[in-house]
Amino acid sequence: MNEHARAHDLLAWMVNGRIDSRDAAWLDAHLATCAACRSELDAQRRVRDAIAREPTVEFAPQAAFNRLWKRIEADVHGTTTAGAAESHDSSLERPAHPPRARATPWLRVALAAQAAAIAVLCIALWRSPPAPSYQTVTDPPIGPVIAGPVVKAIFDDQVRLADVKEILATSRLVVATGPSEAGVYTLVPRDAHVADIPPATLERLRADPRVRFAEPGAR
Amino acid sequence: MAAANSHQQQARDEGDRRLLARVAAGDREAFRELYIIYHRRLARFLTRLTRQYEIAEEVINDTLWVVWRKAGDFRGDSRVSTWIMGIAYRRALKALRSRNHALIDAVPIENEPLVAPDELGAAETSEWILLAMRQLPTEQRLALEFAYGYGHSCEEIALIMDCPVNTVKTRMFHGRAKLRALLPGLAGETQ
Repeated sequence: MNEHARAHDLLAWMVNGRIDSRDAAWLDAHLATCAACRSELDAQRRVRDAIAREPTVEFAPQAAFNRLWKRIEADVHGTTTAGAAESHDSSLERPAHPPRARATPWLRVALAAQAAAIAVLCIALWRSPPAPSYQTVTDPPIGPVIAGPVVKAIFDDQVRLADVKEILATSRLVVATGPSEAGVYTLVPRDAHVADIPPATLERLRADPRVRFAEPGAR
Repeated sequence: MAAANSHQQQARDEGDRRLLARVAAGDREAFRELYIIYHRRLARFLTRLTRQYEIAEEVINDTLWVVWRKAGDFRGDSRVSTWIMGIAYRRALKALRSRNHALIDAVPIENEPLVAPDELGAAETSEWILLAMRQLPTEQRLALEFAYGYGHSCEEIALIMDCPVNTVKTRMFHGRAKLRALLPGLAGETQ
């Protein structure tokens, strides 16, 4: 394998932080003398940033967890009557949905309650003005609509309040809303007249180990 | 930076292992914590893989249902995140197959560049890259996503995708080559 091919293979692990120190030392030395591989490093970083940037629908984890927990409880009840065949399942396979026999009366009651709750939500949504962008199921509309640029950010679970304050002060941002159920904060510039989030601010946030996620987004 | 990243990931894995041990003992609260941690990661991965919200949502719970049941079987040979992503990957492929969803290589591979080299403006770069990614064969796209999007090592990707390490390298090599062919301006200016 020639030097460039080896460098191209290693670049991915430099870009994602999983390269070992010996390969990193070799790659650093190679990059210092090779413009083509520096260019490839730049390209791979862009790919990484694009993937990280792609917005996804925000799910509501707590509600989804509750659904799964009900399924698990139904499994426990089901195995007492349906036998333990499933417990020997070593292939991690199972039916897409729990057997119908497990739809116990209390589950039907729970489903009816869920349907009622969905109906209430639908009415609430119908009465609300059109939302400007995504809104999680569990987040009620809070306060006025925020105009202008925002940053969606998730802080590391271990971060202290003092750290968050320091990160916000350094970035000249304030919390507009959040955390959402998914732990996402919507941050806006402290100065209301700022038209854009500077790229340097985003880069600093992303480089900060206390920040797990930082992306520009629309409120 | 790489060392800091690696240290951070190791610390996360240790936290995951502690949670998983409690899950294996039937601790509901630990399972809830683990669920919330992985929900977002899985949602991102699965909505991109399946492109269908309903399937993604179903596979997330299928995956974590398996995690709940098999937590005690986890031997610690890999990171917890690798183990969980592997389950999600297999569950997603199975869910798609059961629906006769022609995901694999469903998108025709374009041989012509999507955009001229000088048209890859800074503002649209990410959009072009994501569009080009969708043109790749699924296995190549996933290998790139596991590496760049989720920070997995080559060995971890091999575990997740249940293939040899060299296959991962080959998929990434061809994936990158196709991206370069689709987006000749991707590398941009070299300082």
